[in-house]
Amino acid sequence: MTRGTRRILSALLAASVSLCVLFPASAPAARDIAAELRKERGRLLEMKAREEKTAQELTEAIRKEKQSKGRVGELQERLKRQKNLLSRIDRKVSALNDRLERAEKDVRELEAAHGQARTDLQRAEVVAFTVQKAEAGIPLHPSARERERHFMRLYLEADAEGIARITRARERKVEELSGLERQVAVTERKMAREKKVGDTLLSRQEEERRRLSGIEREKKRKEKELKSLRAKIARMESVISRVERQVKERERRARKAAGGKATAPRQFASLSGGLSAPLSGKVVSRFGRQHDTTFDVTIENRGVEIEAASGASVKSVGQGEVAFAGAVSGFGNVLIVQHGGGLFSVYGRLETFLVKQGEAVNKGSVVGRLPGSQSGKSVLYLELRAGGTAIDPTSVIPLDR
Amino acid sequence: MNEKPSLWWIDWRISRGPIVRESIGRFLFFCLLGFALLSLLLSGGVSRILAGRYAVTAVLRAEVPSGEGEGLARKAAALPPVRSATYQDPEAAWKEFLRAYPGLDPLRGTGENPLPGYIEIRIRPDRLTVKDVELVATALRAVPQVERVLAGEDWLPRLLLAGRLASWACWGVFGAFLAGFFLVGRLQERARAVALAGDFAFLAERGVSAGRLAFHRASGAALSGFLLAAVGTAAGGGVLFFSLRKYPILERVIGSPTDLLLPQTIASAVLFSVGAALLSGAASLLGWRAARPGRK
Amino acid sequence: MIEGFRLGVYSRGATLWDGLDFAFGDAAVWFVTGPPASGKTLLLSILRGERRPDAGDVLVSGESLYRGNAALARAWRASCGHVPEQAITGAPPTVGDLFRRSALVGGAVRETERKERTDGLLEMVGLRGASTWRISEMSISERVRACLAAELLRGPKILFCDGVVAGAGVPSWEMLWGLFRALAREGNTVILAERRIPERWALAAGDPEPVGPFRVYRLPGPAAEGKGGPG
Repeated sequence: MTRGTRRILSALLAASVSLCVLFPASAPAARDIAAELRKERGRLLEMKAREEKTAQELTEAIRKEKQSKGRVGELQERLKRQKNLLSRIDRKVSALNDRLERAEKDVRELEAAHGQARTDLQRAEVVAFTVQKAEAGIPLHPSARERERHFMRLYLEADAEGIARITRARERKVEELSGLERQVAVTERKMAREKKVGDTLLSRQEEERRRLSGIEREKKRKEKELKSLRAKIARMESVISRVERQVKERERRARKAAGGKATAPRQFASLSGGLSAPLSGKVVSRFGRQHDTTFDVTIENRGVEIEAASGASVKSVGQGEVAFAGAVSGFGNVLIVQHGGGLFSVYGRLETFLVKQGEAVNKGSVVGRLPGSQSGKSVLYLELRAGGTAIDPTSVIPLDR
Repeated sequence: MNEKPSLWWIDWRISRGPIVRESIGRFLFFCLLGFALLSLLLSGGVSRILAGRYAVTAVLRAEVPSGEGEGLARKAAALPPVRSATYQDPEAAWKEFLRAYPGLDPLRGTGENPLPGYIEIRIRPDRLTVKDVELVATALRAVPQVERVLAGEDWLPRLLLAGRLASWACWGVFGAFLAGFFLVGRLQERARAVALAGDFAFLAERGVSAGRLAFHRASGAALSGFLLAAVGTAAGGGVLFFSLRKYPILERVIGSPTDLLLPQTIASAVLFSVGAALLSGAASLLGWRAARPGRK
Repeated sequence: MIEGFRLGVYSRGATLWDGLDFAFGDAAVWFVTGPPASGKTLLLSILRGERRPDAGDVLVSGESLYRGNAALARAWRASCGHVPEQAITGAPPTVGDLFRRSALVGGAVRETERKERTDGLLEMVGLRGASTWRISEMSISERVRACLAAELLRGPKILFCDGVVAGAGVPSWEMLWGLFRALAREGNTVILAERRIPERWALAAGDPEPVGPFRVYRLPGPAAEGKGGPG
């Protein structure tokens, strides 16, 4: 059950309980009203159950939608990443191809340079041999000849060194070329794989989209249904409010008939002994109008929810008498303590009652316990009413927000 | 009349024609011989030619800059046996190399000049010996910027030997010409003595002793030989001087014309003239003696 | 005065003559005759100091020619005039060269003097203008006379003539007679060596002095013409 649903039900319960508490032993008109109330209550409970179920279904649908959206989003994200990856791989392949082309060009150029260098070297050797043969015998300038032969040796050595350098460069380039070709092959295989993955993701995405569409359709249907239920509940509340007003009028007439003065409802601030927090915890749901972003609805909370340790003892906020202790659908075990003068405190979602209906309690008396949970936390619903009007508990009781 | 007859220039007084012809011939001969002598003295035989053909090459390391190379050349030129030291940068070496091997393509595949700069050291002609060359080569090898020294250690001894032989041959030829002069002179003296035998016999009859006659004739020949040699050498030297100034190739082979005016050159010319005088006197004596077989 | 003491000559393996004494006074013309191969030329060469005798000595003005100062002997020879029998030994090309040669011996005969006196002397011996004649083209008589004239260029104190009279020929005897006598008159001594003396000269000389194989005539001077005999 979602929080919003709980708030709605809380509001209805509060109204119902108020009516029950305020008018326990009415006149025959009161019996009619009570019967009407019971009837309405029954209808309300039925509607509540339906609503709860619808809300649950809606919640489920929303959850599924969320999940599906999440998956779609995830798939989209993955597809985006995949596309980016493919783009990167494609760019990489292009870059590798460019490098491959350049490397091939370099290899061709190096081979040409190698061939040219070898030709140059051979020609230089022929020239050296020819010149030396032509100068056989006693040279006219022996020192110049000696120097020229030395320089020819340097020249030939430089040429040979150049050829060796070109050869080494060519070998490196060929190796680089082979490496690039392997890289290109690997990258292309990777690209094919990623493309396949991308295709798979696309198909999954399509599938999720289709599922999402189904969920959305379901969600719309549920929303529509919930709206209709809410409308019915609203109508029911107006009926109850009308009945309340009738009860109040009858009481006033009865008091007037008895010659008593109408007593103004009391305030919690003037309660003898003051008020104390029912337990140690943090307010997780505040009093008043709250906008539910999940359902995009505005809900009016009549009380607060206090998160405390699971299994914590719940105490009475003030001195009074247990007016009701029983189970209420959607709220679990509910305990109502009347403090006189139209002041009531309502404790919902208890697990156990430690007091009985009609038992007097003091401020801080343990009246029940919260249920245990795996998370170690449980939530207490607390509502304060004064003269039939819900007031913000945090305004009169020091609660941790 | 008891006066002793004067025997000076007796041949000239007896017969002038042949004397004039011989003197002219000898003068021209001494011109040529003087030219040859001075050429040999200046060139040291073939020393100058060899010194012009021979050079020590100090091949520098590739990273040595031009300024440093020129500085090294200046230092090398200060060595005692060195006549000149010239630095050639790598570009000049490359151009020289291409000229020597015209079949090479100057636009090489690598486009780089693999040759370093070098210093060409020329040795003085009078110091061109294995020992002095080794001195220069050792000094150059000690320089860290020098990669290698090419001094032709393999063929230099043969070259110097050939040079010495050629110099000896040149001097030998000169000596041969001088010996030829002596022989020809002796023959001329003999012929003249034979031609003037009647006159000499006439003189001998009149109390002129053969020895005195021979002495005076030889002395005259020596003196005329000295004068002819001196003037001929001077004339030859003058021709050589102007030839050296006009034809630079001769200066490269023989030497500087100003070296002709050096005291040692002039002293050598004077010594040559003295030698020519002695040879002329000896030729006169021997020719006289050969012309008088059995004569008392 | 020329004196020969105990002169002896050994020639061709035999003694030619030995122990001969001669005395030739100054300023006279002496004529020595002898048969062929008697050694006349040899005698003249000994007297001139050219050939050392195998025996004896020659004195010139009291000085030994062969046993004394060699320089004196050379000076004596240089001062003598000699016309050999062959007239010209190693003949020069021309008569002028003859005179040039003669002038060499005489240190004081300058070139100009020689040139001046050459023609005069040649004319005196009957060879006028013969200075340019080639010796090889001249007759014996001409050569003898040219040689005589060339010797006279130096003005020798003693003149030795070997075969000059016979060589000059009969036509020249008169000239020679006059010439020699003129020389003697001037204080010079002329010693002639001939095979025979011209008859006129012999008559003028008188009886000769026999010296070994030789006959020595002393021809008188112009003042003593007709008288002869060795001094």
